[in-house]
Amino acid sequence: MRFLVCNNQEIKDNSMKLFKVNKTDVLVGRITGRLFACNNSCPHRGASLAFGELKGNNIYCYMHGYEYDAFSGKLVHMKSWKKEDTWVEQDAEWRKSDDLTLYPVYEKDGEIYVELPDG
Amino acid sequence: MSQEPIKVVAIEALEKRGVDVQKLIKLITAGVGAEFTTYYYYTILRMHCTGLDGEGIKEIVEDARIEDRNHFEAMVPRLYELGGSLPRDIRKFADQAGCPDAYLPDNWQDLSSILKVLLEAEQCAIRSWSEVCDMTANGKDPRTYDIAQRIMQEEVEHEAWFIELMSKRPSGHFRRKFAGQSPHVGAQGSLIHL
Repeated sequence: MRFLVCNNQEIKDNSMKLFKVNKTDVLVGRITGRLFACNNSCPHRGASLAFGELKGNNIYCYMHGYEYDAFSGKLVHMKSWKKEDTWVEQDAEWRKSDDLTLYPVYEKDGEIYVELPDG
Repeated sequence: MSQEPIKVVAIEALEKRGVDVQKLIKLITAGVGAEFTTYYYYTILRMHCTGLDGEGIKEIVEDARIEDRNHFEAMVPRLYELGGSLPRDIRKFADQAGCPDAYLPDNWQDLSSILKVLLEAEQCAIRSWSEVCDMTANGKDPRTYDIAQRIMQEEVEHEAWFIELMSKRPSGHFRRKFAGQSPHVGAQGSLIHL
């Protein structure tokens, strides 16, 4: 189902903003002119991605430092926990993460819309 | 016995205020997972606070260790009230924890290496409980918020202690009245909400 999110002036280039859309927290952003929209919950441990930052095409999660491609949704950087050589790396099960939940997003007549799954 | 689902007004009230209860359950399960694993790993870290320098900080590590366990104890009943539960397998519980394991570093004889691990763990816990506070603040879920903010207060203190030990930045720390007192989560030694 399609929902109006905001006026397109609200999303400046290379920025992102959180919206509540039909009870869903949706993060909408723009990178070099291209829009993206995803669920605000980090697929690793559920942190709010809106508190993170953009690094190139990636959304950087502030909680554990994971990075996801804003357009493909793929996990592209899994942070190592070895801050020093003497630290022990974390278990693979703990480290693994799903990809972002992306939503179709587009501009029309100066407004930004997202499509969320029905129900 | 009726097979109709039981209506829980205490959950319905949260949903009407816009709380995503399933997400909250997930965050709390991850949060208590981090507290429980931290309690375990802090036991190992404290055991390795040895020598003259180690003797000076092992009681501080012990306060943080017991208080993190208290955080687990304080929040778990709320998890069940919300309809969540602890994983039946402790391995799954550890794998979903909100913070990485606070492993003993290989160069543990250097006390500063242990302090770095302790600090990292406390900072992750602050981020983790901040998420729960955000979801429940402003009257949306006063009961969960009350517990989470008490936990947060103690995690903030723990971070300040370990920063002081590493950098000499004053934390306002003075000894607890007894080990693991939990001045915010506990009350006179008995945990709040239990």
